Amino acid sequence: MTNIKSTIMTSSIFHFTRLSLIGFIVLLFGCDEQKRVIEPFVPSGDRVVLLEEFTGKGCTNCPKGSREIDNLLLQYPDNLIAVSIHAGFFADPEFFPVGIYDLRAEQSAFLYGYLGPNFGYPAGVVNRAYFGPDLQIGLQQWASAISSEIQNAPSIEVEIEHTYDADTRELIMTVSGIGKEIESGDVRLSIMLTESGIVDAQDDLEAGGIVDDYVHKHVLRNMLTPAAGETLFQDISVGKTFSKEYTSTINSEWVAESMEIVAFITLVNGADFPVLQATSAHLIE
Amino acid sequence: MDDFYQFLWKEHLLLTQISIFDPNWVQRKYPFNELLIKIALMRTLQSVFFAVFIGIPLFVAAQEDFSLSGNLETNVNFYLRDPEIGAINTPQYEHQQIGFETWLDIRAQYSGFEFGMRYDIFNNSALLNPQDSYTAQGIGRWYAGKKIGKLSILGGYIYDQFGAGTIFRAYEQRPLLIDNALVGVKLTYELSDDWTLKGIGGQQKNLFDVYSSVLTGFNIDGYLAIGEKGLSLAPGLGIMHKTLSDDQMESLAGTLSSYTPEDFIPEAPYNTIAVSLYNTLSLGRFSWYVEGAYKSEEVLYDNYATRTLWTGVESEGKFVLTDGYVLYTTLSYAGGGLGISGQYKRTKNFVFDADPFAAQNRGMISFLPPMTRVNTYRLTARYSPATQFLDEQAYLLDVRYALNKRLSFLVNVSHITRPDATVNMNIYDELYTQVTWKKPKEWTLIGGVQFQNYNQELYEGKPGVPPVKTITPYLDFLYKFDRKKSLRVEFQYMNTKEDYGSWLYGLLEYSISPHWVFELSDMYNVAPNNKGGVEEKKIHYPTAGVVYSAGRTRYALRYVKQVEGIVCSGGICRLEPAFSGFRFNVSSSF
Repeated sequence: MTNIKSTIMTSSIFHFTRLSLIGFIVLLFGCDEQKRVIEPFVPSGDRVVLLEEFTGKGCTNCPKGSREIDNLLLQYPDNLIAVSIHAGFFADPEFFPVGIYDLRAEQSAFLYGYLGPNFGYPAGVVNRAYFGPDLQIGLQQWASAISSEIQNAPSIEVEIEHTYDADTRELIMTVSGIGKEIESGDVRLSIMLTESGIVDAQDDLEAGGIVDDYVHKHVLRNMLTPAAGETLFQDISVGKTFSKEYTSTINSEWVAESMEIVAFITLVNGADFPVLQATSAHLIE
Repeated sequence: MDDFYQFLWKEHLLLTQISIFDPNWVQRKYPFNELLIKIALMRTLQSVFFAVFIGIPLFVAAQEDFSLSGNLETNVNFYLRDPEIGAINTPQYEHQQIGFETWLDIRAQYSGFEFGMRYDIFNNSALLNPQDSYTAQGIGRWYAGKKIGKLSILGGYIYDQFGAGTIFRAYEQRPLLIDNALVGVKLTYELSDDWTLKGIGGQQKNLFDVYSSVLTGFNIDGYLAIGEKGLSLAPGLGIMHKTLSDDQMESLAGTLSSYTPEDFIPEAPYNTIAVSLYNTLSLGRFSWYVEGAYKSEEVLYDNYATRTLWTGVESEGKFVLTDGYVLYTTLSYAGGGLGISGQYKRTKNFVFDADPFAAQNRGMISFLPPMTRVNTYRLTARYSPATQFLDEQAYLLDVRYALNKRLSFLVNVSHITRPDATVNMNIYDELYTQVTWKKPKEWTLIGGVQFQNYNQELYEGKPGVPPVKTITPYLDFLYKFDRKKSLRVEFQYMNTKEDYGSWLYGLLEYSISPHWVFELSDMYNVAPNNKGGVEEKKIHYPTAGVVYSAGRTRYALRYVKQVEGIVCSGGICRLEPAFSGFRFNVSSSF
């Protein structure tokens, strides 16, 4: 008798619960959710965003990142500057003897740690800002981070004036700027030299393996400032100006015609050091 | 116990002796020494923590029902740079030299209450990213719970799953640093002796943070005995609901807004619902488990979808808006020395993550059971297939037959494909045979052959490489000299022309029970694959180790030289680079 009672009770509970849950599911699926409408992003304004990509010739997925950079540069021609930093495990010729050149710059190792941690390649850092728990983000997130940064007006302006003597390979440049908004922190200037059009082998998953005549772009060659930037002053105020002059001799193995100067301002407050504004200029206009 | 009270007293004295006034206060803006304040705050927090988790439980220790337990696991790696095997160019090999991980668990129970805390330490650890170093520490888990009649309440970091885990599994796999605990609350209600209702809510753990999406779920599990012929059903239903946070959606929208018209997605849902219905039918010696799961439309990243860039170039990988499903079933028979198990799984677009940008093994809400045999021998486990969440169809058949107590046989066959793919469709085949012959209490001989066809291009992302076809005979002989001393000998040979080429592996393991185990092994690249016509070196990968056990504590020290390879756990795999150095491990339960 007890068993029968128990069975009836169990059965009733089961039916009741089953009906409740089915009702709940129908209710959930039937909810008319207000979805997020996606609209094509049209860049505007004068914010120039810096994308620092970590890559390596032995990294088979990295060309996908380079293609994404080409894609983004086409979308944001006036608002994006890309620098490809060959660094870490996949860029070491000792471990991946791919091609002829070692494309690591003297500052690559430092930047790899400074902008870390790394969770896999290709990885990018957009304006040295956080779009999650870490600075480095996957290529799926680059466009989102860039479009988000573009919408913020720059708090400082920066520009490059330079002359290059092709005979002596001497570069003389002046980087100057003016504050547009009040910001607190250590204001630093970083200057990078990049080179595009470097033909050397690259492992490329989408191309089916090693591509001997792969064209490497935006490769970081050197920095004219300390790798973490050179302090200009403390705090930005509206109208505050700066001007710094640099001289450098371009390595004879680098093709000057394919080189760019990249200058950007960071605001350092402890572990936060976002890029406030960036600019670039071809070495030979 | 006295030691503990002495420790608390010392902590108290230290805290009270700290002067929070800086001697040079006149010259400073604030009269406080910030460092000392921080230390004082830390100590206060420590004291509160010890009081809550240790002090109070100890105070009630004299009471009945009280239990306190814990366990410790520490792994220390000493890195020795070895360019010959590729053990180079990670921070550990280049300059850090030592890395370690520690997990310290403490659990207390009293009168229906339960408390627990785990402290996690990662110092120069390669667990998060085998090519990089990770340093962080903090409370990796805490929880508090109470059973009140038929209701159980648990708050904090929760490990649990619905059914086989298809729509929800919060679990930990330390070798891959997977820790998908749900940070939130779980309520469990016993509807009857056979029926349980469970509700969960929270956010998924992300190292020492959480993913910003919100997860809510319900699960009902039951048992029904029908008739008197042993027919029973164990049905269950699970529902998981995920809401993306505004930040996640903005980030996703930012990426989608940059897509070309060919790939553009005009609307993205915030919410995803996954429903799983499962049942185990048992009748006599037969058992049949079936689970079907469906996930509503969400925007997920498809690694293999073709995307058209603004440059006109086509590239692999893009976000797509799609629903998904999994069908999983296993039918088994056991009796009369015969055991047969057949499994089938079909997966389509069942990526269910806590963050749309979570990559690799991070942020997974669901767990899809692997459909291959879990191999344990060094060479038979060298090529293990990772579960495919986007497109997978898998079959597994396992037949075991014990002729008598001394002789038994095993045959295991698995076949995995990607039915909707245009390339790399057949991705894994395995035939595994085993014969076990033993004389009880004296010796055991295990032998067999494994045949594999492993799609390395897909599983390891190595472009253009051919599938790895292996034939691996193996032997495992255990001889017991007496009740304490035994010797185990392993021998394996992997024949393959692909990847690194063929391997020989030998192991000697001498045990003196209950304390000592001495190991010596070597994996030898006997016939290396001379890629690109370059003659490769025949490299030895030796390992020597000693393990000492004292009660519930185990110490292991090993010198290890290990080739690059795939490390898998529950179908979740990743490529691990070569290792060279010493490994020291301590594990203890108390």
